[in-house]
Amino acid sequence: MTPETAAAYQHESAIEAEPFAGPALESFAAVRRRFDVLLWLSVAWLALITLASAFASFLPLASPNDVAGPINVPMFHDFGNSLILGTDSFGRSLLSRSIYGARTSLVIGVSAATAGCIVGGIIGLLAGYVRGATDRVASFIIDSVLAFPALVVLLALTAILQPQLSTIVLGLSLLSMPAFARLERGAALTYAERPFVIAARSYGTSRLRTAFAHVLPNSVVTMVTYLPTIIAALIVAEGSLSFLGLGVPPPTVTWGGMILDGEPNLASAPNQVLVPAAFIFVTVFALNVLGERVRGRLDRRGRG
Amino acid sequence: MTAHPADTSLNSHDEPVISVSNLRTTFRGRSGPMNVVDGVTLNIGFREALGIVGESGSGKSMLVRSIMGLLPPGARRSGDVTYQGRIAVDLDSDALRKLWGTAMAMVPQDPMLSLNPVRRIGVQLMEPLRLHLKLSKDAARQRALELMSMVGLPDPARRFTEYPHQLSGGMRQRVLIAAALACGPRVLFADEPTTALDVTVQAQILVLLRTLQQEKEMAMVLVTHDLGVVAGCTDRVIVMYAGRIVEAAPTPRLFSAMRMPYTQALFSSIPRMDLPVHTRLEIIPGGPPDPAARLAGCRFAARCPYVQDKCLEAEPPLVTSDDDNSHLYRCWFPIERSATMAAAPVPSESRV
Repeated sequence: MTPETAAAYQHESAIEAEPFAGPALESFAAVRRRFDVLLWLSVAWLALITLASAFASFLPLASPNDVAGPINVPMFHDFGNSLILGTDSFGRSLLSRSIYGARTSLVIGVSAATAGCIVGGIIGLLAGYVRGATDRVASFIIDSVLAFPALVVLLALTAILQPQLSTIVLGLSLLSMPAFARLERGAALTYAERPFVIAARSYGTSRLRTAFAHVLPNSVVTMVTYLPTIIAALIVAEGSLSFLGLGVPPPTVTWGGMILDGEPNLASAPNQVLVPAAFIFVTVFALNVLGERVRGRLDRRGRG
Repeated sequence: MTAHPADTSLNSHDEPVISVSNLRTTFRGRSGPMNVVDGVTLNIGFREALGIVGESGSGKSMLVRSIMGLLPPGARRSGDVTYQGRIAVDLDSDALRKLWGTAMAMVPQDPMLSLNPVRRIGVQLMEPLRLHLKLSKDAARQRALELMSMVGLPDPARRFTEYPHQLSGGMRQRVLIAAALACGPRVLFADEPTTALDVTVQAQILVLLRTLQQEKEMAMVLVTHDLGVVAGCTDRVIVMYAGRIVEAAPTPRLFSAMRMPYTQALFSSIPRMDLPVHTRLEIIPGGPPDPAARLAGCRFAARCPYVQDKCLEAEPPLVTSDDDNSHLYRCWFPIERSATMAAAPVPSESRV
C-alpha cells in the first residue's frame, strides 16, 4: 500500500478504534441486578444433589441396601439424622436410598441426553445443511423414531438386551435424539444461507467443513440450552421405567424403584412413596427452571 | 446510424482471464422459469477493472455468482465460462471449490453479516490459507497478520484474536477483502462491497480495492448500482438490465457518449449538486420487467421515454458503435452523441 493511502486509513482507524461499549455491557448489568431467586434455588439444589450423590460413600449415611433401623419409620422420627426421612419396609434409610438413587438418575439422564445431543446434532446438521437426499433419509429416521411410543421402545430394548444401566442409557438416548436432530436441523437450515456461510464457501471451504466449522458453532448454544429440559424428561422416563420394574435392576437404587417398593404401604407409610417422588419432582423442576432461564439469556432465537 | 452486429465477445483491452459466453441462469418460479441472467457474453481481461451497473433485480449479483458457480440452491445455469482457457462451468463441486479463493474470490455485499459471529477474526483469515496453500498454523498466522496490515487494518495482532462484533463495518470489510485476497486470486469479484458502509468509509474501501487490484495485477469486477462508484474505480463498465447486457464501454466513453436510454436514465437519477435545492430527483418510472415474462421487444421499452413501435416488436441486438468498437449497446434508436452531452431535460413541473 502506498503511504498516501496508508495515511488515509489512519483517519478511519482513529474513528473505528473506539472501544466497543454500550448496549451489550449494559444489558449484562441489568440481568445481574435482577437476582433470580428461583434460578439460584434450582442451581443450588442441582449442585447439592450432584455433589451429594457423587460423594455419597464419604457421607455419614447408612448403606442404601442394608438394614439401618426399624421398618416403616415415618419422617422426622427420632432415630438419628441418617433416618430423618424414615425407612422402607426392609428398614433401609430413605435418605440414603434417595441420594444413591439420584446418582442413577443423574448418570442416566446426563449421559443419555448428551449422547442424544451429539448423535441428533450431527444428523440434524447434515440434514439441514446438505439437504436433498440426506435430509429425506434423516427426516425419515427422525419421524420413525418419533412414531414409536417411548415406553414400547424401551420395553422392547430391555426385552432384547439385559435390563441394565447401559441398555437404559441406549434406549433413552435413542428417544432424545429426534428432539435434538429437529432442533439442529432447523438451526442449520437458517444458517446455511447466511452471508458468512456463503462467504466461507466463496473462498473454497468444503461443504462438510463449512457445516462443522461455520454452521455448527453457531447452533451449539441452542442445542446446549435444551440439554437441561431433555435431561429432566429423561429422568421422568427412567423413573417410569423403574416403576414398571423394567429399569436398572436391584441392588442399584433408583427413584422409580423406591416408589415401586413403597407403593403397597402408601396408606400406612406414605413417606416411602413421597420421598423419592419429591426428589424426582424437585430435581425435574430445577432442571426445567435452569433450562428455561439459560435459554432466555443465551439463545438469541428465543428472544426474537 | 451505421451499427453492425457485435462479434461474440465484448472486446477488452488485453487477453481475457475469464470468458463468459451465452451464460444463462434460471430459477424455477411459480409462473414458469425465470432467467435472471439471460445470455450474457463477456470477457474479463487480465488486470482489468470492470464495473457492472444496474438497478436492483437487473441480475448483476446473479451474474457474478453464476460466473463463479456459487449459486443458491435451485438455480440452474447454462452456457460457457472459461477460466484461463479451462472450461469452468462443468467442473464438479470439488474442482470448482479449488478455484474459489485461488483463481476467483469474492468480496461480499454485507460485511456486518459475512463474518462468522462465533469465530475469531484470525481463525477465519487462516482458514483459506490452510485450506489452499496448506500452510502450517504458524505460517498461516504470520501470513494472516501480513494480510491484515496489507488491507490497512490497524493493530493486526490485537484484531487477530477479536470477534467480528468488536470491529466496525469498515474494518470487517477490510478483513473480508484480506480473506478474499489470501490465496492470490486472479479475479476479484466485489459484489456491492460498499453498499452497507457509510460514505467516508465507502471511499476508503474503494481506494483500497483499486490500489490492491493494481498492485496485485488482478482483474476486478465491481458490482454496484452506483455510477459514482464505477466512475473512479473501473476501466470498463457493463450496464445490465433484466438479465441482459444493454451497454458496455470503456468508463470515460460511457460517461461521455452513452447510447442506451437506460444508461441515460440511470445517469439522470444521480442527485446533482448544481441544481437548485429541492429539485425533485429524477426517477425511472416503473420497475424492471418480471423475469418470468416473455417479452417480444426491448426489455426497457415499457419505461423508455423514446419508445417507438419497433421497440415493442423486436428486441434489439447488442451492436458495436460505429465510431468505437469497444462500445456496445442494445438499442434500435440510440441516443445521438450530441444529445448525450445534454442529459435528459428536466421538465419544469418536476421542480417543487
